[in-house]
Amino acid sequence: MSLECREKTMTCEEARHLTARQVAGEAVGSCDAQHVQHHLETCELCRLHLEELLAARVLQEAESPRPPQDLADSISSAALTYMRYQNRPMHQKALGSPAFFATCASLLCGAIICLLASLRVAAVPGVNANAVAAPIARTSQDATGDSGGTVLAVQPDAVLAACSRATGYVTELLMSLPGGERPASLVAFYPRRPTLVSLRSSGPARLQPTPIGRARGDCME
Amino acid sequence: MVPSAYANPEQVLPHAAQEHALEDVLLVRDAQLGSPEAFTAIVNKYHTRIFGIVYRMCGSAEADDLTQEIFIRALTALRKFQFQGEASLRTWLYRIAVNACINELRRRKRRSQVEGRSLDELSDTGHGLMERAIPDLSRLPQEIAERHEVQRLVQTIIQGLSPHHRAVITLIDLEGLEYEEAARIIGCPLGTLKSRLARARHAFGKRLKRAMARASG
Repeated sequence: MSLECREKTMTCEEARHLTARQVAGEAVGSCDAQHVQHHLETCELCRLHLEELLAARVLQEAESPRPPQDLADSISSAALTYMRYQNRPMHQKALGSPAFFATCASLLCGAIICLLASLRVAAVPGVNANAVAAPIARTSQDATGDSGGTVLAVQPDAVLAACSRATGYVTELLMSLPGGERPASLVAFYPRRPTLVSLRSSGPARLQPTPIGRARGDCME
Repeated sequence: MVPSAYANPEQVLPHAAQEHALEDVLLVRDAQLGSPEAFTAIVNKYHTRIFGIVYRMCGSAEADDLTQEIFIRALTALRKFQFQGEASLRTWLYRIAVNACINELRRRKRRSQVEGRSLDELSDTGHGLMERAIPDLSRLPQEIAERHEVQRLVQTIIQGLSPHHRAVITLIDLEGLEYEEAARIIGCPLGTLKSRLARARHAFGKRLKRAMARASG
């Protein structure tokens, strides 16, 4: 400290006030500057405070980035499109809605599954696709739990499923194959709507009816 | 075309915060009723500042896309918006912007963890995400005073901070908001905001000092 400056103990508050002025670019007296310097050498908190002020100063002097010139127009245009979409009549809105697409997709999937199932039967050697609608065999009363259950489809190796008129349930019938094997696939065929029901790799050797789904009451005669 | 009533509100009502707030009330009311002109006026009034926040917090890549997304998000939520005091439209928009930026930063971090890092993406330094583009400090310190270089350095250092530190620095030091408004935007108590700001500035200062020291050899 120079001789002309009187010895002075500076408080943290005074030092911070002066450092704030210095950082802001204001002039402070040379003695004050020396006192501040002396205080900073001994006070870590005030040094941290000064670092914070300097960082803030650098940040505050940074220029704001300029957006692209056409940004406002493109936002407004996107907003307008969105507003038009929101203001469409209900039936138009429904056409473009996710629910509409989901419904279409489910219908399409259903149609494809039906088609594939029907093709699969047609492709089985020895089975006439036109004959699918005709009852191939009738289940016994013991097997389905009610009389008049109808076996609707068969693959070369096993009876696959039956439909119970009384309960409206598709009834799965597992039969042992001649060689002791189990049927690999189980498909219930309704008169007009062939439907893949399930796949099963093992099961009891005897006829065992198991309700596996609603048959919509369209069990064939 | 923006009608004259909404054109350049800052020119129409210079330095009149109260009238600005009234302007916002009218704009919001009309936009809520479905007026595209009113929403366009809101965009014109705030897009520069929202872009600034996005640019500072997420970097220049996709800043304009994210800004657009923020305004569309605001438009979607506009019907539920209610005024809760002066400058509340600005607070509300800034809050949407800050949340969108924090989500974007998290998404980028997740993506880099799943897909591996791209050279264009931010790199995680353990103290936040940092742009891989290393600032050209070879000409420092002689030319560091050049505004462009300082600008670049500041931006690079901010990109190295954590998302929450970026948010406080962006709102308070770069956008010049009051502590109270920044706390409302970020959704934290005032004390938390102040201590977070101090830590963020300290981290910034440390990195700046390190960059300067590295530059001067």
